[in-house]
Amino acid sequence: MGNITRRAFIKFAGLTSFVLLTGFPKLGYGKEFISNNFFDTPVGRQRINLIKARQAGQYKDDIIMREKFKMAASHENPMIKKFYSEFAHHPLSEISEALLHTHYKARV
Amino acid sequence: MVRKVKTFKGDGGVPNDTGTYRKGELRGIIKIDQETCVGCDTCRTVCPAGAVKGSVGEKHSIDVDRCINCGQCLLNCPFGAIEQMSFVDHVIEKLKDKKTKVVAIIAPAVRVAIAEEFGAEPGTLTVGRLWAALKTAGFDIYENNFAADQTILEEGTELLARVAAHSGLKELPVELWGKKIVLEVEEFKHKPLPQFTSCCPAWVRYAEIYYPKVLPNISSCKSPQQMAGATAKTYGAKDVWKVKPENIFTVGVMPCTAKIFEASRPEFDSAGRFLKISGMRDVDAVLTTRDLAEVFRKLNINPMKLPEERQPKDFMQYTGGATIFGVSGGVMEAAVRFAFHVLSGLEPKAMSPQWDFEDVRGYRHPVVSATIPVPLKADYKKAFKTDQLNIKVCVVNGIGPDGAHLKPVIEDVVAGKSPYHFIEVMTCPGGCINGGGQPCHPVELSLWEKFLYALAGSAKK
Ligand code: SF4
Ligand code: SF4
Ligand code: SF4
Repeated sequence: MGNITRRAFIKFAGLTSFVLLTGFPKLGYGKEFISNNFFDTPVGRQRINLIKARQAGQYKDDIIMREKFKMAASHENPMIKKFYSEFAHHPLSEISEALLHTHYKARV
Repeated sequence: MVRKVKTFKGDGGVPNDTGTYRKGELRGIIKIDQETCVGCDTCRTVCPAGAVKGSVGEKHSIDVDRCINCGQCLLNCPFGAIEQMSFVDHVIEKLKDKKTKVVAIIAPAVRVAIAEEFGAEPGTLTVGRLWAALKTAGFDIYENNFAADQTILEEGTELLARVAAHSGLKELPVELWGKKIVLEVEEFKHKPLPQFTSCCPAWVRYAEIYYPKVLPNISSCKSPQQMAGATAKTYGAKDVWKVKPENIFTVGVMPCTAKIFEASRPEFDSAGRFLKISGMRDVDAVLTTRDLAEVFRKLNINPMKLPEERQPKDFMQYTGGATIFGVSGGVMEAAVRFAFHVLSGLEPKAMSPQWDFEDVRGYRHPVVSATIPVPLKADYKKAFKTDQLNIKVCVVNGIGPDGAHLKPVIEDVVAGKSPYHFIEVMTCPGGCINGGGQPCHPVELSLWEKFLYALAGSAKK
């Protein structure tokens, strides 16, 4: 490969490949290369079928829980009812606040 | 075919506050292997937090202080150069210890993906077999879906309280299971609308680093994983399993690498504080979906050979609303189902399409928004002075490349112009089903890119 370094080569070829694949860049080189919509990026497009398949599985589970176990909404879970009647009393109770709620902290 | 992801052994958290990490938190969960990285730049283009440094042709690296641990870079690196911190050996050790009750907290998205690690098609639903495999390995089970139901009760009620307070109400009667409680909602005036969901720890960290102004908008609810840990060691230990809380070792099994970080947040020792036991964590270790598959392989268990039947009891019971937490729009739909019940007083049959709120579902739109009309029952009609509440909701389906999906939505909130009551944010596009801890399907390169990198490989370093 003569005198060019690997890095310079990839940089040049990467730019060329981008132009070949997508036509001339609309916004120039840099951050703007990134599409604003993940699902329209080269990687995003490859993920759609996987997302669809797993999503279908998840909604199938929704149907099973509703059809076989008759539970669609969260308050219909008998164990939830038990948890509140035996222990936490009601949502936003003192026990709930102590165990199920939290706070956030700026990290700057 | 899924590819194996390289892991390295997890250690303790940082000894002192440093950068954007607090004492005890795990730092550097996701790492780029400098030997393997070829500088293709894919990781930088998918990172939601702008945390990846480097440009085409250079070795890339992660700025840990900006990183929110989502693992999207790892999932999408075409060269398998990105590694994950793992606690597999740690958990196996605990499973061998007969004194310890090891409880697996299994997230919804794990059940639609783990089968892929054993050769099945993506989306194969694995519930009964997963439970059976976990029991064979020596785990007890706390469905994170049960915790998702807890989350909805808490977060849904919190939303109603905020809406009521901002509609000028002083108190809000809530009827659940035929019992009426009256919530004082005046203090919720200080909690602004819209309310954001809080179940995605990468999003929470994103807000803490980049948009601290919206922290009061984020629901105060812990994520389901942390609710599960705190409940298991209190109510679970005392009333359900009748064991000592100190002898319980909770293991989050998550589609997510950010959950590994979340469990190490210093405030998540609430069961210990509640019971006055010092040094006890709510969640002791977190495994990704891939890690759990590794545990099964190491113990010679193949869940796909076990029967797919379910007999849920105790903390294994969950609703349809809970299981859709795994997909983008799911938390929103579950919350709306609950709010619909409380506000209207209606109780449709389980299979009724009245429980389906399809407008909030989405798999390829970066942002989904909808207005959901909810009829009010008699006493709310009077209190809210209207027959129907129009709940305005928004679902951010992935924070997007360098925040691109989320930023416009959040800028509106900061400017006080947001039209919504409730906003769901999932860091990973598609939701947790596409999380950074899920089985990893290689990204295909174009022929030209393959040629390019093969050629580059033979070039001088
Ligand atoms: S995607 Fe992988 S190979 Fe490409 S730059 Fe990032 S770490 Fe390196
Ligand atoms: S993609 Fe996620 S894990 Fe990777 S560097 Fe960015 S924030 Fe960190
Ligand atoms: S969307 Fe789900 S998998 Fe992704 S970071 Fe958030 S909680 Fe984790």
